[in-house]
Amino acid sequence: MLNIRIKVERRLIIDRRLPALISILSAVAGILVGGLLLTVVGRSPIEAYAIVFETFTNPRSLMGAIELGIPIIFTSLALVLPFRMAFFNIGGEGQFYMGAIGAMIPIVLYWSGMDLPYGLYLPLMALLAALFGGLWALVPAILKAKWRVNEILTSLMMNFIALQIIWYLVSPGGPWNEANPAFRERYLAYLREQGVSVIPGFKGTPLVPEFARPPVIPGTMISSALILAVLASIVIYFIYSRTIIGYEVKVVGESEAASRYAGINYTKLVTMVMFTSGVLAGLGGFVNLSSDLLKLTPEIAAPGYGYAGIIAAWLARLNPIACIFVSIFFGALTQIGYTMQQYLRISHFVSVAFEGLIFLFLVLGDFFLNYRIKVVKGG
Amino acid sequence: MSTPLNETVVLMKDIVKTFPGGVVANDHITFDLKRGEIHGLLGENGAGKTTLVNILYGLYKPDSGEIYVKGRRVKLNSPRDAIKLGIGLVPQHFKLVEVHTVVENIILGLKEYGFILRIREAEERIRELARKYGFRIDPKAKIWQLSMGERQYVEIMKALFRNADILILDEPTTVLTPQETEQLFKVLKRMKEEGKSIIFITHKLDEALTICDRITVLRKGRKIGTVTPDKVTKVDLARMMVGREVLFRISKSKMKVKAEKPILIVENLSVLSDKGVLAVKNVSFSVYPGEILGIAGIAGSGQEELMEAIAGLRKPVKGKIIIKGRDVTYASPREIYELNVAYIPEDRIRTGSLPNLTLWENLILKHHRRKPLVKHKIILNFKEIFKFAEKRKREFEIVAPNIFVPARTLSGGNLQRLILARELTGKPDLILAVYPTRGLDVGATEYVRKVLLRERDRGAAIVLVSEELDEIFQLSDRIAVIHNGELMGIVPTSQATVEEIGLMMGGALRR
Amino acid sequence: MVDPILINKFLTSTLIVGTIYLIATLGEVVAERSGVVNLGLEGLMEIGATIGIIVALLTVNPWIGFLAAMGTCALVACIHAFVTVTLRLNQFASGLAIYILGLGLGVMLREYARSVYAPLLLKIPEVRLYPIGVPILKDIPIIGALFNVNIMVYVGIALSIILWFILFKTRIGLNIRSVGENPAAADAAGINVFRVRYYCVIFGGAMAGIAGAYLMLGHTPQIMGAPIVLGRGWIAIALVIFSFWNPIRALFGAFLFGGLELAYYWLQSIAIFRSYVPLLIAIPHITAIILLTIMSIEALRKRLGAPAALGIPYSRE
Repeated sequence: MLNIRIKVERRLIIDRRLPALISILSAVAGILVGGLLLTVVGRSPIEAYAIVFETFTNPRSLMGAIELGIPIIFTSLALVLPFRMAFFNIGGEGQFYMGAIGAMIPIVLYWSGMDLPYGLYLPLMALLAALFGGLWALVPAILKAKWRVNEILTSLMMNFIALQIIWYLVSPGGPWNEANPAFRERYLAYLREQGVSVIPGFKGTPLVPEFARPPVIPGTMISSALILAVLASIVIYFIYSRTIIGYEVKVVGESEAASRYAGINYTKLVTMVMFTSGVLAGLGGFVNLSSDLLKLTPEIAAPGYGYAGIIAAWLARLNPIACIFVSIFFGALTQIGYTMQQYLRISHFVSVAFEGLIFLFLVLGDFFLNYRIKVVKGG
Repeated sequence: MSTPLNETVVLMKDIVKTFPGGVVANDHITFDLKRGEIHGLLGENGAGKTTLVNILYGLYKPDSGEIYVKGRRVKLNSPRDAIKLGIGLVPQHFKLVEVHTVVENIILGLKEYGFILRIREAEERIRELARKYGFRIDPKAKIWQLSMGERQYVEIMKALFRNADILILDEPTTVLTPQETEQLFKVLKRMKEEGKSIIFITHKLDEALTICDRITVLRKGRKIGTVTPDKVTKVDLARMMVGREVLFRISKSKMKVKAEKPILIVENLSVLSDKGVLAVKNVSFSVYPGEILGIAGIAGSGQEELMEAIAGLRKPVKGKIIIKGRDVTYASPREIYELNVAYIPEDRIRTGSLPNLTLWENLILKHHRRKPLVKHKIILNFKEIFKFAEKRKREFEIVAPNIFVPARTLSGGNLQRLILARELTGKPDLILAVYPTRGLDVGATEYVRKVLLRERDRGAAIVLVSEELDEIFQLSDRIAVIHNGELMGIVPTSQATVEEIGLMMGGALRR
Repeated sequence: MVDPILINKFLTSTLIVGTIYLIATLGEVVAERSGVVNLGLEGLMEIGATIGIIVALLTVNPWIGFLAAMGTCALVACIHAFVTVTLRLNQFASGLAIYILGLGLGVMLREYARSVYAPLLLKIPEVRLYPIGVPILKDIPIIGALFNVNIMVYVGIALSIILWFILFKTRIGLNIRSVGENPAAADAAGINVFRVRYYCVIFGGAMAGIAGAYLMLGHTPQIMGAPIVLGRGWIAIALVIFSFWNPIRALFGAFLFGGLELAYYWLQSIAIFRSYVPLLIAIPHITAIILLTIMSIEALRKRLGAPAALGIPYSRE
């Protein structure tokens, strides 16, 4: 009698290509199963797959995916170092918002009548975005280092607080609302040039003027912020693999007991790493504000760039270079969500569901990193 | 009581167990236990003793082989099955819930005390059993408040509560003083007289010869033979266990003339444990260059906390630590190792090494900020790092294909070599060694001991914490005995006897 | 000076809102006592809210809505149990995945339901929970609030007492706590660690489902195509820590946050706060951070802590 048994074995040596393979398979599985889930809401998966296929093959929508992916490059890159040291910063979203708030300051000053040389606006916005994001990220870092407060919960709570700050600033009657009389003179003149004669005064700040928007890479529709994103990932790659900081991050992530024993100053390291993390997420907010949103509104929360960054970083196996490509893939997913909203008339939250599924498959796939399944003949 | 005396109660036939990675822990082992006997299972660390009894207790499933209990062939899928057959296990590393009370631990998993637990009834029965065997235990105490010896009694009671008549004790004496060991032996004899059968695991030859009716020797997963104590000598047993002649003495040179100035002075030091209670109480001693100060005591008497305090990993609440004339009481671990202090930690795997990182990443730990391993202050200089790591690997004969494999692929002995290679870089003036040979086989143990003696002869001051009195006597120039956080006294090894040190470990004698 | 009727009104709504937190927290307390963190609470509640209201409207019966939400979320929690207990994978990652998946699915389904079942929305008044309102008793100052709430508030309070009793006074509770503290010890005592953890995680999921459905049926009965749990699930996870994994203490924490959530509503009537309403809405989140910090300092000082095996998968070999 043929006796076949399935045996689960622990892997001792992990093939270097396996994690990448699992990442790719999880992404594919997530999309396939996600498409099937659409039948629940009465949509044909085939239509969904067609949209997915279209997005990845049409150069125009691919460019859109890159554009949407740029903020995710920043938010995923932001997590490489903290996650490597087992500091679970879920606060990328909030640091992203704070970055956008910081970047908005020079613009708000401009509309209230203060002038700076035009060339200074973009660097100043980036600087303030970095600073705001960085400082916001320090809160969970310091709480954890000093009193071992759970960083997952604190960084997450900070997201809600940051979003409420935006609501406060931009709601009707708020200090940054476009209808604030301080902006009236200059902003109304600007709007008239565009052919608009009243300030609507919905929830939102005045627009970012043209001179404060990063130029588009010639011949494309892609913001030059992509160059900044690529530079940032090279910097993080260098820090991680070539410096003492990267080495110490690795040691802490592997064993906190060993890092203490080796005299690594956790407080100093986590402060440095989280500030860097917040700077990157903050820059993401700056890029999103200045090249896509163009005005600060609570809408900034809709795509969930910070949360997408978590999954993208995981999918990229915390490799800074891989983060670029995975983020563009996530940009495409976001794009797909909006396309489906338009053509299939379902909520764009469908892309969040897709992301969740991919994440789940990715977590499941890690089983195969540590174990292999063997079919054994005979008892 | 269906089986008459001398009947076989357990028969394990041709047991094979292979672990992932291909380690054969049990290679066709056959083992039998008779009613009313104490059967010793003797072997080095890694010989397969614990694996064998874990199979009998249903924790591991054998790859092949048969198990008979009280004449019936059985299949053990979980401890639940073993418990039903009357098998009880007192594991080497106690399986107790530390924050729960004694009674909660003992009745865990039992149905007799109702859905709504009748705690008082259980407490009464615990007191009764404790009286019978002469244990002194408060059923309401939390486990973490108990000494290691008391915890062992809780484990034994757990088995008795489950009506075990086959009792397995895995290295029960490592946590006991010599006097407590004697006490335990009395209890075991009493149980034997009641008709209980006992499997007694040990690696200590004297103990096996004293308490066992028969001894089965395992080596590297194989059974070497079963003997009775009256037919063998200690030397025979040692040869069976190790597979070659064993020297019971490592030659130690006489200590050079005592230097004037101590390297390490500890003054009235008090340190808290993780639970917030005083683990080290008002301890004072000093250590001179070229000597080994052995700290004897049963595990958990405060020696771990004491060493952590000296290494800067635990802040003292009172007292002073002076290394090479500098007050380092509140210094950071980094400040301390920069004074050229080496620390060989108790926990090799989590604290001493980084299992998933490569050998070179492990070897540069602590040295990773030093030139020439680093250039321009923060950039790693890989050329120098690899040279450094290769050299260490060669010097300490670490067996591994190259310096790019993860540390978790190393055996226990090799891992300790790796830690020594790293810690002894730069000829440290003070070496803190905490249980440096725990869990190692004889070869690796010998290597570690030789290295420590070599370092002493070079002029390093060494503090050695060990639970093996043999080791303390072999290596130390002076012996400090710690009991319940207090230093009971310091005795030169030449004037010390095992009995005296044992009494001090138990807190019965102060010098 | 302050109107007693207003006080009663405030207390009543505090109890009603606090029950959302309470039910979710109690489920997570049990799961964490067995050693498994479920960070997916927020997502599960989002799904529970959607399923709860849709089924309640379709059947015109809130209780069937609750049951459906409970069952669905228990099923989703099974995934978490499978991933973390059977496959022994990262609990945090799995929880986050469930959170994001639940958020996406919950909102997407709700948006869909809104477009398909639009006429059903008229039936909302028939399925929502109303305060019982015991005559006379409900008008007693302060205590009266207790007699003017919906039935789920009583269910929540009763559950916290029952769960406390089960955890600390019964065999099952001892098993759960032991599994969470030292699974190896429980295993050696013949307890099936995997089964205990499965049950506890599934129980936690079911409770999150009830909490989500209650959020809809007892608090804000509406179908919107946007997230609705808004961080309450995450606060519930924080509440587990504040309560030191004790169901009775969870009761106080949950009602405290119920009150804090409403603080903005009562404060906005005071002139100086009026223009800061969006910031006042963040009061619970800010308080959560402050309380987490205080608790952590306390825990460090008194050396109290989470179940020792929390977050750590168990395997024999």
